[in-house]
Amino acid sequence: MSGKKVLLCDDSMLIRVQLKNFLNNHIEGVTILEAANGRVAIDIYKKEKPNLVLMDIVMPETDGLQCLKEIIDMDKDAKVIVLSSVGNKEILKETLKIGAINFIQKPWEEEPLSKTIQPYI
Amino acid sequence: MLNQYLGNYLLNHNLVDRDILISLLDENKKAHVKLGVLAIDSNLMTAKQVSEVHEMQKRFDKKFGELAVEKDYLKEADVDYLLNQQKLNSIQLSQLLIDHKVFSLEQLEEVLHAYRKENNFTDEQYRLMQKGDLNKILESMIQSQCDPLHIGKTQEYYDYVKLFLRNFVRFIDHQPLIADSNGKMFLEDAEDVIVASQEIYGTYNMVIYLIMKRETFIDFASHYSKMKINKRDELAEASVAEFLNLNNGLFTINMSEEGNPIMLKPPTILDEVDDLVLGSLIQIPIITGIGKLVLAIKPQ
Repeated sequence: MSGKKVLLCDDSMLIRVQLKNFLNNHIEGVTILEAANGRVAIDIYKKEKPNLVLMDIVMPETDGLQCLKEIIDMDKDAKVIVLSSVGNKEILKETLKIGAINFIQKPWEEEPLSKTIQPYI
Repeated sequence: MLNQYLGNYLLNHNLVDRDILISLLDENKKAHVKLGVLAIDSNLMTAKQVSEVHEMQKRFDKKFGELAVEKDYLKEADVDYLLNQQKLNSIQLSQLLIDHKVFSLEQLEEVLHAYRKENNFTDEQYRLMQKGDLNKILESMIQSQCDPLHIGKTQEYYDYVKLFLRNFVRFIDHQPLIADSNGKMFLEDAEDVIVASQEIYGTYNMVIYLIMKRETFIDFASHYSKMKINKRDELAEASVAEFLNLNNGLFTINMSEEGNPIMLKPPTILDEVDDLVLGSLIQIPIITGIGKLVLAIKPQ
């Protein structure tokens, strides 16, 4: 049993369902936390301190960039991987500079995602 | 048209250290992009040919382009084309990778070849939907519906629609056809339509609408999610919205490459499009294997 916690932060129910299925199939005993916007994600992070966060950028209320900043400010060792369709130069640069450990362009594929998250879970 | 920015590709494939990538992306001064790198990036010359021309430049006081044309590696038109490519973000990054000795020319050539293979839309995907003179039909439709205020942006609207059609073929259905019809009449009536919408802002400002009847919406959701969806529910709405979000996200990458950064607001699902708004839209009616839909652009 992994005993690990992963926080999914995406306003799309489809993405959360797909990621949940993927994580449950690949990591035994993982606890999956969900947030549909950045504000909820920050609150969950404070309480649960997940091992890994998978974070979208374009979200209502608090977007991924703001959420990423607040999580990193709270916890310099936070492991956040951005998972977004907006993988242009500007957003890639900003997310990495804030402290994201990686950036995966949607649509994501299982094998590359599995390799990317492996070291953190 | 790209599926992924080069920097992202390098990061995901562990080809560049994260901190090195950040410093390259952060370089404020624009890299002076040399013709040799441009030629490799555009697949017009091999690294070996570029190195050969560089050696020749040490002996002869001539420009790279001149020597490459003399050696028959490039035509004059190729040189003009390459010089036009200089401002693309991925090309800037290619030059920085060489300048900072992250890659040799040969290594860059190899990386770019793999990157292109993984990330360009295939011609196959586009060929499947080409019936008749699609490009001319699209151009004419967009020109005729675009108000004078935004007529200078028709190329971007055209690029957007082509990207949408490619993604439609990629994820939903192989046979979209452009119909020669008014959008509202095309859907026969405005009753029972569902609309996915997303705002794009920045260098270009527009709202995208994807309008279809309920049955088509549900089928669309099923196809994109690869799940069995039988009714309009949260999952169906999330599925169609996410397709639009993905398509528009790719549009931001392509626009960023051209030095035109744009950003997205979250997509929304609506039950109608106001008649006044409908009248001001550029409408592309599309017949697909899952039903009719209208892709509409509202310039702002």
